[in-house]
Amino acid sequence: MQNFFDKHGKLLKNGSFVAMIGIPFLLYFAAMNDATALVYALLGAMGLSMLVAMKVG
Amino acid sequence: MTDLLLVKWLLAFSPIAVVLILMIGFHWGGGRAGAAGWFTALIVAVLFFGADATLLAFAQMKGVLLSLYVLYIIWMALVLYNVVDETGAIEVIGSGIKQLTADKPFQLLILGWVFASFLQGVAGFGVPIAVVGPLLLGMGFPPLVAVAVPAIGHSWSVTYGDMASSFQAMIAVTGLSGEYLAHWASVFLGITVFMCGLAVVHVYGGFKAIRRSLVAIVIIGSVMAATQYALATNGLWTLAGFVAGMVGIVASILVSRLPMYRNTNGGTEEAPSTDGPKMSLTFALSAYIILIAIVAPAEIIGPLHKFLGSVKLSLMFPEITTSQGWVNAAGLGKKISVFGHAGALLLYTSVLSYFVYASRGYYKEGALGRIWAKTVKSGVSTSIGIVSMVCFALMMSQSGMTNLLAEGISTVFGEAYPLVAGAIGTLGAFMTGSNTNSNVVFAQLQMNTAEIAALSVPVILAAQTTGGSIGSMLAPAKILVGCSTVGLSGKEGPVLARTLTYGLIMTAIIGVLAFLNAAG
Repeated sequence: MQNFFDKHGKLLKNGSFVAMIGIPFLLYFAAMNDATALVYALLGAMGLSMLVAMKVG
Repeated sequence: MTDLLLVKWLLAFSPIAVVLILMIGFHWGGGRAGAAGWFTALIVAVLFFGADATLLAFAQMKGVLLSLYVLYIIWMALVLYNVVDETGAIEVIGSGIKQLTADKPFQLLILGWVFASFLQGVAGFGVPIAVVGPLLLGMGFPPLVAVAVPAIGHSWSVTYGDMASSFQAMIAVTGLSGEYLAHWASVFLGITVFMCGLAVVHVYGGFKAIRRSLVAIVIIGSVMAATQYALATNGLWTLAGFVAGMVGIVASILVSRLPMYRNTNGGTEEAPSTDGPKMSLTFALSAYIILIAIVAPAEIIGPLHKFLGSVKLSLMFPEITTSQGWVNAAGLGKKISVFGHAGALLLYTSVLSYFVYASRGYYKEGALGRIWAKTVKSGVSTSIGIVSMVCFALMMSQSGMTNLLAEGISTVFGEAYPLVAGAIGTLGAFMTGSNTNSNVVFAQLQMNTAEIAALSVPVILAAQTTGGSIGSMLAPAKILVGCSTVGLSGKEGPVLARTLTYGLIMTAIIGVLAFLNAAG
């Protein structure tokens, strides 16, 4: 696992940054359209990008 | 406070505590600690403050709009710095300045106080320490002094430096106008100018060095503080730090002509450069002259300002309430002016500067690629820290946690609250490594507390951002950068101990000033 993070750290870091910026736009439109299930899924994705940031940020 | 309220207050404080513990105790970076704070805020907001998924979704979006507002400046400032640095111009500017005088304390003032502040005005993010530290080491100063001096010397210019990104963040978070906040912020930061100058020479030579440099500190400090005040209070806060630093360089050149500081080396404008063509000091500064030429008209000329600000991006948010009754009013999120934003002005400057330097052949092959790579390398880590911290700060404010913290602090400290307002800003910068992040996390809390305690909001927020500015000299992240450039890696403790003494004294003085002026 650690090898994976070492090998792809830069990509994961850039990816988590892009996700942190991009996912809230989807969250906003899901929340405005009362798509509750999608909001939960996207909050999960946001959490995942934060987890990655905690590992490689 | 009842026991239940105390428990809830501690829970509301827990995201900040997590960030503090991880950054100070475990030496995590801002990005990693911010993400941990985000999780803590999410859990506490849902379980104890009645936030639902929709509220969290809107909080993320508001946080990203706010982050983009600040990141636009940060990324474009990094581009400009790298456009200039790639030509070797930063080295030329540093070398030109150090040849002005042979007086050691005055050399420290010029490089560690004035030039470092100028660099903070144009770049920030540890650049002043990273650039000035090796220059001082090369001039024969001890490594500890070489790191501590620029760390202390540049800190007064952090709020208005880097196109005032920290000040802009405070405006964005509080929703107050810059004109309303600028007076007191400039007064407190102006006093900090002198404190930093005194501390810089004291680090090197104690009170004897202060006596020798007092005339220079008074003259140059007055010029920089007055310039900063005049620009910031007239709506040009984006230029206040940078122009104050630039005017400080000119004042330093004039002061170096005084008999007591006169150069024995014979100053020259030419400085050794890299393999490419030689560059004069004036030409090296051309990017910053272009910056003034672009920003000043864009901010001062009304029709141009209006035209550039005609395209603004934002999103509308509906009213949303937590299950515990905390109401977030409907309204627009942070508006971003695509073509008139400080970040856009930096972009225009970068493009023009690139062509000016390229026209004289100062770029080697592959320069654009290197500029981009350096910008991304520095920008992504900083950006992750800012986005995660802004998003958790927004979750806290949208779920009522920030307000509860403010009420608790106001209850405990009462009228003595201004004494600790500066210390809160300093703590924020210390824990997050950035005045901007400190303002994002604490400015709203400070504003709410001031309102509850019927204290002057601009005075309390001035103490917040001045404390944040001072705190940047203590930030472990910056000390780490400085130590790594002068071969002190692993020996950051003694440097931090040195800056801590000066930082705490300055923070205490700002607290007293806030206390004397904050009575509503």
